[in-house]
Amino acid sequence: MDYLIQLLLAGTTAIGFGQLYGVPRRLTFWVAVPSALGWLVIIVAKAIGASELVAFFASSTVIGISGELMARRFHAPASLFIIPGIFVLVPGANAYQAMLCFIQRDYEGGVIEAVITMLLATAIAMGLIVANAIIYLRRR
Amino acid sequence: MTTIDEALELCVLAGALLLGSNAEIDRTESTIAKMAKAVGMKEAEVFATPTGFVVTLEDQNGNSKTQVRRITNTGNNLSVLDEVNGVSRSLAQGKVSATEARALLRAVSDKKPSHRGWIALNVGIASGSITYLLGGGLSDLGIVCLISMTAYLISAGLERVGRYRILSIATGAVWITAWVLISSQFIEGLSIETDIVGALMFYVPGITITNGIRDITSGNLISGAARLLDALLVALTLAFGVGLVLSLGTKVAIF
Repeated sequence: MDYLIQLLLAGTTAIGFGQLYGVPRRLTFWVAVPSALGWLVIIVAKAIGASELVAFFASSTVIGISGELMARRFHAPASLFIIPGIFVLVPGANAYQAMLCFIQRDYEGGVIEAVITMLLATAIAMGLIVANAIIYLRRR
Repeated sequence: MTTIDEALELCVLAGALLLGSNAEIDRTESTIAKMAKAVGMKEAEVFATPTGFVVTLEDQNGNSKTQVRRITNTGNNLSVLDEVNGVSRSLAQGKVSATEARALLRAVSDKKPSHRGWIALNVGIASGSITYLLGGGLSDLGIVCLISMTAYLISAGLERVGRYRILSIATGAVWITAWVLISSQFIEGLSIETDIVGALMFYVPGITITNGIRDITSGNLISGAARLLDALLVALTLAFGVGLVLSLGTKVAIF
């Protein structure tokens, strides 16, 4: 039940941020799909005990592929689906911890958290790049 | 037959709309080239960066023309991307003429953005939802929803008064952190960390980061690097605003 609520909220996250970024009206609710799929991957990855890095990479790949496929279906740029969808993956908690450590003069902990944040961001970026490559290969 | 002047005007209009809403460089350049070919130009060469672009067109008789366009005001409007994309597709398919396409693009640039209250409501919903996903409870969800709505209205107001983008982000971070700290004094069981992260989430420059990565992977190194640097600046501004209030809060020892 809680998982269902989480998927729903992953969808409303994307819808809300979609409106902030001016997603056209005909796609308002559709932008929820990649976001929910991406969060589903995170839930599954947590359940089977995969590391955060793998989970983020897999999830952003799924968001990228589903975004590109929906873009094809609705004749719209893929960014319209990917940008609102990717918000559920932003490693904000790690960035916050890094900042907190630096304030408390725990520079070692701060550097560790900052590196983790950057690694997670790289995993997200790699996922999007891989998704783009897969779609491009299929198109040719 | 479209003259080179009309073709150039059309291309510059489309490019300014795309870059003005933070589109990827690859998309901007290929859209301009596609439109130029569709109205019968022989060659089209485009060099675009996030802050401006150069277009050179050459018609069938070998005459060429160049125009430089500086982009100063960038917004985050994805529907512009969608509509310019639609216009360029129908132009390439021959469904609309060059004159009609120009009128359609003009209509896109004249369109007003959504009402700010509506966007604030959506920002609240999105921030609340993501707070729950980050591990917050229902009370966290409600508080974050309210705080981020007010923060959005303040930032949007500041950005409208003058173009103080970075200042408005810093102000928002300070506002959010202060209110999360204050409400944690009165409401039991709020998670300060989750609430601050969740409420700040709408400041994360999602378009800039995603398009920066896309630019770098498509070989537009200058634009990609500039965009990622801009995103880093925003992230550091957020960290500064939150850190300022948190260290003041602990110094004053109210919290």
